[in-house]
Amino acid sequence: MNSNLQPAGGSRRMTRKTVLSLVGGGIVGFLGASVMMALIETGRLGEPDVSSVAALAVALVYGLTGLIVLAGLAAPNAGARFLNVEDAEELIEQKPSLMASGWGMIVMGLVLAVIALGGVGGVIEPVMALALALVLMAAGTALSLRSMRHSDELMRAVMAEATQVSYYLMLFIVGGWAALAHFGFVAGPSMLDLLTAFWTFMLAAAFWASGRRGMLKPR
Amino acid sequence: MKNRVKDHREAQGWSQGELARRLGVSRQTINAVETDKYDPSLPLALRMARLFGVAVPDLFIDDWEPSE
Repeated sequence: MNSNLQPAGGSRRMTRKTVLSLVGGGIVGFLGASVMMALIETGRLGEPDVSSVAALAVALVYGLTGLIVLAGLAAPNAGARFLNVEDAEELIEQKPSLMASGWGMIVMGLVLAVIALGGVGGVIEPVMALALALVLMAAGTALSLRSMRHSDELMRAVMAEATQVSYYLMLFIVGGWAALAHFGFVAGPSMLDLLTAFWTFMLAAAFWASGRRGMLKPR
Repeated sequence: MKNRVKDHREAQGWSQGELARRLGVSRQTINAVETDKYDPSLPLALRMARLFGVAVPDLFIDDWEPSE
């Protein structure tokens, strides 16, 4: 039912779905962050600085988002309860695009994680990290192209809009930070901070563009 | 842009999914068009009009008037 006037049953279903999505997402996010912090404390991830931890956190968001999408696709009846679709059939209809997107999110998260762990003093040798990042980046690009091929005009419009918005976010936030650093008011961003900003702003812009088209409204 | 896509779809007895399938787009696209969140491309607007058997201006309402 997509009418603006929802019958009581539809409204209850949507409220339940919204609560389930928020609580479920919160729990998954909390567990993921806990595992990451526990790994850092054991020293298995070396001694990451603040920039590396921020990059790993963003990589985790990408990875978990991708995993949630893939989990929903693996079990469409359950997936329709926490992903923003009308029913399981819609998930099946969108499977080619969502499958590529889900894997793409995971792979792009891995790219950032490998870079974060691969700097000087990191747990991955820089040359190995570079090779891994290049391979993963190529895979991520291929998955993005595959997803685009299976997307219709709305999704392409959303992605184009997200790209524009992320550019302006980079320009004003990172550009502003760089200008202030140039004047000597603040410390400049590290190279890893710049990469984290690319990943963060693209994700934030994608959510913004999706919301603007009404795609985040519970269905 | 306001439109009458939902009226025409419901008059045909089609769900959003059914219309999406006939047009080769996602349900989200139909939903975004019907809720005025997205103006479809000209090709899609033409296909919608053709599918409903109406002219595009009967489907999409533009209040613009040419100046004198």
